[in-house]
Amino acid sequence: MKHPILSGSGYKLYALIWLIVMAVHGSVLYFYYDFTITISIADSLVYNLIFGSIAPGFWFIVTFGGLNKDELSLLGTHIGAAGLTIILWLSISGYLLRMLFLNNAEYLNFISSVTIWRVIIGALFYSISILIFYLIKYYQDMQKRMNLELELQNLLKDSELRMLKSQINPHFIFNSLNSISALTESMPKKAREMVIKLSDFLRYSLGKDNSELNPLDQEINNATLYLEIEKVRFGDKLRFEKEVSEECAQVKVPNLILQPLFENAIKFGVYDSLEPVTIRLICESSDDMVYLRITNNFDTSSIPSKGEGIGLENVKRRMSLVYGRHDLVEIEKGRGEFTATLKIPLNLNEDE
Amino acid sequence: MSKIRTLIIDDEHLARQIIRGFLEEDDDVEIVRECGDGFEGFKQINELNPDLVFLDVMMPKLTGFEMLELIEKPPVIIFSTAYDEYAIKAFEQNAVDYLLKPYDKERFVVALEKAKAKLDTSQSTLTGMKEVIKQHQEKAEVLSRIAVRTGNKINILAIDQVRYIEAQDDYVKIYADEGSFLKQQTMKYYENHLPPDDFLRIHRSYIVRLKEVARVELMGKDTHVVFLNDGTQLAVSRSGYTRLKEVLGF
Repeated sequence: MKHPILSGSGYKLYALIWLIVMAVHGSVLYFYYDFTITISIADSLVYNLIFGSIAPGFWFIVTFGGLNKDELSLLGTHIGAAGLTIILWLSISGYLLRMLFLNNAEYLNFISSVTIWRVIIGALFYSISILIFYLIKYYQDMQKRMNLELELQNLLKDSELRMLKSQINPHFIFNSLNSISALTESMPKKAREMVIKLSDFLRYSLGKDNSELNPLDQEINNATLYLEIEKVRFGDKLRFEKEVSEECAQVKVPNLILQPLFENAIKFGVYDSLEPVTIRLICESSDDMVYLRITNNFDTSSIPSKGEGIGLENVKRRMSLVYGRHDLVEIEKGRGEFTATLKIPLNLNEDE
Repeated sequence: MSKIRTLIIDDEHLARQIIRGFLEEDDDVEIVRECGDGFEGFKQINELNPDLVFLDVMMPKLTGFEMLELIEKPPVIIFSTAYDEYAIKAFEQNAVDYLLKPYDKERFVVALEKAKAKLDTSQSTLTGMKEVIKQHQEKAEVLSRIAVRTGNKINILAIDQVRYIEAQDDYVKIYADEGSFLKQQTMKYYENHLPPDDFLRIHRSYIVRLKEVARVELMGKDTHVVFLNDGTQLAVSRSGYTRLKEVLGF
């Protein structure tokens, strides 16, 4: 952590404060106690300069002394540090001044008689310095936290953007356009149908803000469009079944949260298999949860040519960002069937 | 002049339909077969020995590239795919052209003419492609599987089955759990494309899976040998030894 006096321009203010203190100190000696100007200045200079050079060290007690300690031992640390500082301060200053004014009995007497006041002033100086340092530290911590939070927010936004990118796969668009290109000649009506489906899908997918919650039935409609387009490409190799209860249909879910799951099912199920693949969407609700289950069978003998799971990771991250829980996505892979389950907490929806 | 015997390999019937439609308008070309996946494509190329192949990249189980790697004397290849990131690789494999879906008749004819020119002269027609190559940057793609063949049978090896790779003239020999397989490929290629955390080049002739290394021993004056878990001994070069030391931290 930055030292508020030693680094940056804090030393200017610090020096100014001590200059004022010295002026007051000297004036009191000169006007009130009637000492000579030399003695007043010397006394003020020695005492204050020495304390002023010790004080920046208190910062380290403030920043490091508070770590892993309870309040009582922290108090002990401060009392100890204050005592040590005052003893050190008074003995060095007193020694120097006694050497300087060896022959001035009145002044030497004065030094001895006001020791108790010096101790009180020292304690006061110590307390004020510590108080200011604590305030500065608190301020620095707060700024640090604010910066961290800002950084986090930016990161979040970035990841949201990246997610949006991964959701609409350009290859899907180009391959679909290629299919349309083929259909225009052989089956113009079907080509038109597909253009409209692709447009509806793109309009829905591109036009939505990622943090928004949408009714599940809208999301399912969009996913159905996607699968119907893929079905034109893959024919009978792709089958889609859905079972969605009526209570489920109006539940709100993060928009496009299903899309990466369907894309995965296509990519690792349909793309990599020679046999027909069935993608099934089942939605069930309990008292406080809606369970969205997407399953697909896959060819156990095929080794995916590309890494798995970026889409799934995105879904997990989003679910935990939206609902503040990490246990809402479950993946199950076994016996030729892949299942992804999303759990949507219901109480959050009722709050709105 | 005999017709150009052409094979179409694409897993989407509509994509095949486009190619077929364009080809049927050209009298020089005869379509000998259409296939829907790389396995079938491999079989048909070996059986029918076509002059020209239209090849998709992303297909079930075996990609177009993987299939091509297994063929000893590949015919003239025109890639037809929606994935522009493979263009460089396609030209490295001596494809005459790279069609990006969707494409029109004009673009298709350009590719077909290039193929004809190559078939006539049997010379590489790289004109105009350098630009395309410039546009695409090669990604350091990490392999997750390797397609190998024994006779006419294709095996797909998962990378985690591969134990070590040995250079053999123009080939590499891949030692896997299922046995060893020869493949026409360079050591450099595998050095760059195997998962870098799992494999290490220890010698001009060897790339080894680090987990397979049981111990490293000194053999004679500064020559080291790696012992694998099954007792196999592999020579280690001096720079290989340095790398091993760095990675294994001994």
